[in-house]
Amino acid sequence: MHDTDHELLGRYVAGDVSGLEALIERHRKPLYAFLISMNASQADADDVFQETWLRVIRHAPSFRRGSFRGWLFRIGRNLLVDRVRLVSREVPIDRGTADDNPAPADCLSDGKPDAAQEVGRRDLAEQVRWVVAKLPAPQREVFLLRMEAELSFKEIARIQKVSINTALARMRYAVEKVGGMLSGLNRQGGQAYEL
Amino acid sequence: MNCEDARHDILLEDAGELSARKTDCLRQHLVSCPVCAAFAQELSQMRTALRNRPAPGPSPLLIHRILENAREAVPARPAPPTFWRAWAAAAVFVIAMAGGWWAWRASQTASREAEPPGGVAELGGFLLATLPEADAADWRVESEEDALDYVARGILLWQGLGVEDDWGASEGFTESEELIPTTLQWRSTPEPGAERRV
Repeated sequence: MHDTDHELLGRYVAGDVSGLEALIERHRKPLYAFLISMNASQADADDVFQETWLRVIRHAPSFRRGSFRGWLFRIGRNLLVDRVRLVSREVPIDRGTADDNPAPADCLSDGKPDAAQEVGRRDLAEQVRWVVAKLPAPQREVFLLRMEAELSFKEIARIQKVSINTALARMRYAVEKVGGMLSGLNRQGGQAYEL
Repeated sequence: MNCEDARHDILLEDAGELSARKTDCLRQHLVSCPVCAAFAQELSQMRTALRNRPAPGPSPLLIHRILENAREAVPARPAPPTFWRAWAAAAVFVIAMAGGWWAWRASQTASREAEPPGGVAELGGFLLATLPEADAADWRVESEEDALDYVARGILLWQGLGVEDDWGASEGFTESEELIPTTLQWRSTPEPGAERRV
């Protein structure tokens, strides 16, 4: 039988560590992929991933309602934001409002003329990952929270502290831009995906 | 439906957050709008591509470290009562209360000529009689309001909350009255001429 997240967390709170182990197994890949896709380095992703689960361990008894996955990703996202602010590094996770909606062509020209052509030869999944990394941070975050974490728009809006309509608009821009950029990539790389 | 709304609805439908009625409207729009239909198809293909790609994962060593922390944290945490334990405790409580009430009622019936007015009053009297600080001999149930007051007061005292205690202050209240029904405040704020004894 497939235990729910709440049941697994409840088992851990009752003293059964295998409950937490199963939770980690269930969510480790989406969470880690989200952190990496938000342009965190592997070292940062490792640290934030670990700290996220330590927070879950610490606060598990007080978790009562709502989506565990939403809670998990909110912790991870906030820790990553804090970390980026702390080191003042140029990872625009909490910026992007100045140029929230650049044209797809602008996103492709990143100073490396051969990069887009090179990526254009890769498979579609790799192209999507590469193109998503070019999105403005708020759009990238919504895109990844929806597509990687499969959170609802209500949860995403809560995480970003915006309205559901704003989250929807960011996602729409993201999908349109990713589609546009992929078409551009395929033209440059000589491949023809149906996008 | 305009195209912007339609695309938002496409996103909501993908997330399983669109109502059946709006889904029907969206379907009708997609039939007549190839641009929005292409948007929906792009979204679907992106999802498939992301789902099928080999996702990076944390190292086993990292997972091991987290689980070590989890094991260390577990013993410090008191386990909550399990479902059956909670029910067993509730059953014992009910049986004990029923038995105690029955015995108390039998003793009261034997010692009094008149019955107290009603079961609610009896329960209130019993609750107070089980407390060390309550003196059953002082009880006078003269009205239904008295009876209800006694029941409420008995429950508060029986739970160890007290009527005049400062437990409210520790919860952020400045005055205990904020947590106590007005009718239970006669001890701290007696009305002039009140004859009620507790």
